[in-house]
Amino acid sequence: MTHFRKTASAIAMTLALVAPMAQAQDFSTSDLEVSLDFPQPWPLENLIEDGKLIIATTGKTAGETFIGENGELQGARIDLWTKMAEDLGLEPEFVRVDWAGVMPGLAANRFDLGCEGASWNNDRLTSNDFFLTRPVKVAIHVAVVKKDSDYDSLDDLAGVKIGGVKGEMELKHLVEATGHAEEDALGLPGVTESRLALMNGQIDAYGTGLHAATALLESEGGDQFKILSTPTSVGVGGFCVNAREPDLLTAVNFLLAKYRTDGTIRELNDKWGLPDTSDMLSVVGY
Amino acid sequence: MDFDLSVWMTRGPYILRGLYETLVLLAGVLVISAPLAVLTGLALEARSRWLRLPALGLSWLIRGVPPLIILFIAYYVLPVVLDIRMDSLTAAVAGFVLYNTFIMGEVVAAGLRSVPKGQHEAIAAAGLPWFRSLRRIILPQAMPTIIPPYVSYSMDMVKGTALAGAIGVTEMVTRANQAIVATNRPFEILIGVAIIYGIIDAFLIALQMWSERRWDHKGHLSA
Amino acid sequence: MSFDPTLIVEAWPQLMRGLETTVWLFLAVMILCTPLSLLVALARLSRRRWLSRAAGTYVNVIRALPLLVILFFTFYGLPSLGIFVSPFTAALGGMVLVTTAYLAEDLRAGLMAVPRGQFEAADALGLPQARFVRRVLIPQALPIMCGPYFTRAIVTVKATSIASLVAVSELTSASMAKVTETYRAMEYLAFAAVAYILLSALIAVVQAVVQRRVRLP
Repeated sequence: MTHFRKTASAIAMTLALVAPMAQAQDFSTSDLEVSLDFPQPWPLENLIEDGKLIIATTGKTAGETFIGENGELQGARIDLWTKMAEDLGLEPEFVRVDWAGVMPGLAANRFDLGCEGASWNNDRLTSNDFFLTRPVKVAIHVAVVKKDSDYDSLDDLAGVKIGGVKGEMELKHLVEATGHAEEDALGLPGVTESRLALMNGQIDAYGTGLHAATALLESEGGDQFKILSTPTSVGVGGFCVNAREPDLLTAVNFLLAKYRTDGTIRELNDKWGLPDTSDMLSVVGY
Repeated sequence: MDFDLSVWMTRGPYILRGLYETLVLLAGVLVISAPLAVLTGLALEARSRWLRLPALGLSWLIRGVPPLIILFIAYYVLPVVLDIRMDSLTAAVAGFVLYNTFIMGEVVAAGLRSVPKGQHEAIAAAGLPWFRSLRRIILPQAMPTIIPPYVSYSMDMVKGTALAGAIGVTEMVTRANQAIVATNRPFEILIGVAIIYGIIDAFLIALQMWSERRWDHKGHLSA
Repeated sequence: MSFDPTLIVEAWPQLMRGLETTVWLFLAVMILCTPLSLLVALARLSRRRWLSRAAGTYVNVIRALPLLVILFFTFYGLPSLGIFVSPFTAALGGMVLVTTAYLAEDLRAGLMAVPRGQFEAADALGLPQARFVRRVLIPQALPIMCGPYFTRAIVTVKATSIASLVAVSELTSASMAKVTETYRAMEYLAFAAVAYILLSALIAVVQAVVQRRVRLP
C-alpha cells in the first residue's frame, strides 16, 4: 500500500508540473501585450503641496538637467519628470538648488523628488531619509584621459595622478580600479574643475559617469579627450523620493517600468544625445 | 587658454537675472541688521549682567556657526521642528540677518569700547538723556572705529550671498555656475561675476570713504 | 528626519583629517596675516601720500575681489601658462592675500581709537615714529583691536572652507564628501557645525586670556 501511494503521488506531482506547460504551448508569450494601466490621476496622499510635484535639481548635469540658452531648465531628466508629473495629474515644480541642499531638502520635506541619477550603494539603499526608486539607467563609471596620452587601459593608470568629483562614487570606483589610496586622488568640487585639471595636466585621468563623459566628448573642445574602454564599475542609478511618500515611490517605480517598456526613456536619451542603457536594465529584474 | 567673452551674449541675460535675488538679499540683510547690530553692540557693552551675559553667549554661538548651516537651519530644520515655513529668499534673509547682527554687533561694541569710559560716566552724572547722548556724543566718536570693519563685513556679505544657492535662491553665482557647466567657459563667466561684484563693492567703498571724511580722525603717522 | 551617530563614528578618520587640515590652514593664515596686516594698517595711516594710497588701493581692490575667483584663476588658470601651484599653497596664498586686506582694516579701526591728540603730541615732541607706534599707539589700541581681531579670526576659520575649491580636503569638504557618498546630510553637517563651534570656542578662550592681559590700567 505504502509503495503504491508513493508511486501515485509521484505521478500526480509529475502531472501537476507538466500540465501548465502543455497548456502554455497553445500561445506564445512574445505576442502578448502587457497591460500597464494606471489610475489617472494617481491618488497621492502625502505630497508636500496638493497638485504639485516639487523636484529638486542642480541644473548642472550635462544632457540630463541643465540650463539652455533660453535660460530654461532642460534635458532628458527634465522631460522625463515633466511627463511623469503629467501622467500623475500633477504640476511639476523645479527647484534649482546647489547639490549641498538636495539631501537636506528631501529629509526636511521641502522636495518630493530629487537626484538626477543616484548610483545605488549600501549607504544610500539603507537611508531613512529617502527612498531610492527603480533605476532609470545603468550607471557605467569610466575613466577619461587625454587623447594624446599613452593610457589605454585601467592598468596603465596605476601610479599616475587621478581625480574626480569629491565624494562621488565615480571617483571612488576609479580609485579602487586603479589601486590608488583614497588620499592620493585629487577630490575636485565639480565636473568643470575635473576637466580643467585634466587639461592642465594636474591629473592624468578622472573618474566620471558614461553620460557625463559622452557629453564631454561631444562638447566644444571635447575631441582632446578619450574614454578608456573598460569601465571602473557598472551599477544602476535612480531617483530619490521623499521618505514620507511611499505612495509616490510606488507611482514613480510603476512609471519608470512603463517608460522603459514603451520606449520613452530610450527616446529621451536619443533626443538629448545620452547613451541609452534601457536594454541592460533587465539585469535588475525589470 | 582661449578666452571668448561672447559667452556673455548668450548666457548673460540668464546670469544677470540673478542679480535681482543677489541685490534683494544684500539690501535686505544690510538694512535689517544695521539697527539690530547697534542694539546688540549696546547689549554687549551693557552694565547690566542680565543683558550682557546672554548677548555674549549668543554672540559667541552665532558667530561660531558657519553661515551655510544657519541658512540650512532656517530653511530645512525650522519647518520640521517648529513648523515655520519660509520661502527660500526669506529664509536666506533671516539667516544672514541673524549671523550679521552678531558679527556687526561685535564691531559696534568695539566702537563703543573705544570711547573713553569717563565720558559714559560724565553723561550719567550730568543726567543727560541716554538716547540723545548716545546718538550725539558717543556714536560719532565711535564711528572711526566702527566704519572700516563694518564696511569690510558688508563687502564680505556681498560675496556671501552666493551661499543662498544651497537653499534654492537662484542668485547670480548659482546661475553663473549652471552657465559654466553648460558652456565650459568658467574663466570668462567668473571674470564677469567678479566685475559685477566689484561694482557693488565700489559703492560700499565709496560709502566708506565718504563717511570716513565725515567722521575724520585726522591722526597721521609722519613716516 | 533621522539621525544616526554611528555614521560619524565610521567616518571619523576622514572627518578628523579634514578638521586637522582646517586647523593648520587657519593657523598658517593667521600667523602670516597678523604682522602683514599691521604693516598695511600703519601704512594707511602714513602721511606719505604714496604709501597710504598704495595700502588703501590694495585693501579696497582685494576686498572687492571674490576669493573664489582669485583661487579659481590661480589654481585652474595659471597651469595653462606653465605655472603649477599645489592645492594647499594656492589656498594659503589666496587666503593670506585676502585676509590681510580685511584684517588691516580691522586693525586700522583699532589704531584710530587712539585719540588724535596723541599723534599730534608725538609729532610735537619729535618722538621717533617707530617708538611712538611700539610704545604708545599699539599698547593703547590693543584693548580695542582685540574684539575685531578675534571676530576676524572666527570668520577666517570658517572661511577656510573655500579651500575645497582647489581640492584641499578640509573640514567642510570632507563632511560634504560624506554627504555626497552616503546621501545622509544631517549627521555630517551637524558634525561640521559642532567642530566649527568648538574651534571658535577655543578662539574665544584665547581672546578672553589676551583681553585680560592687555586691558588698560
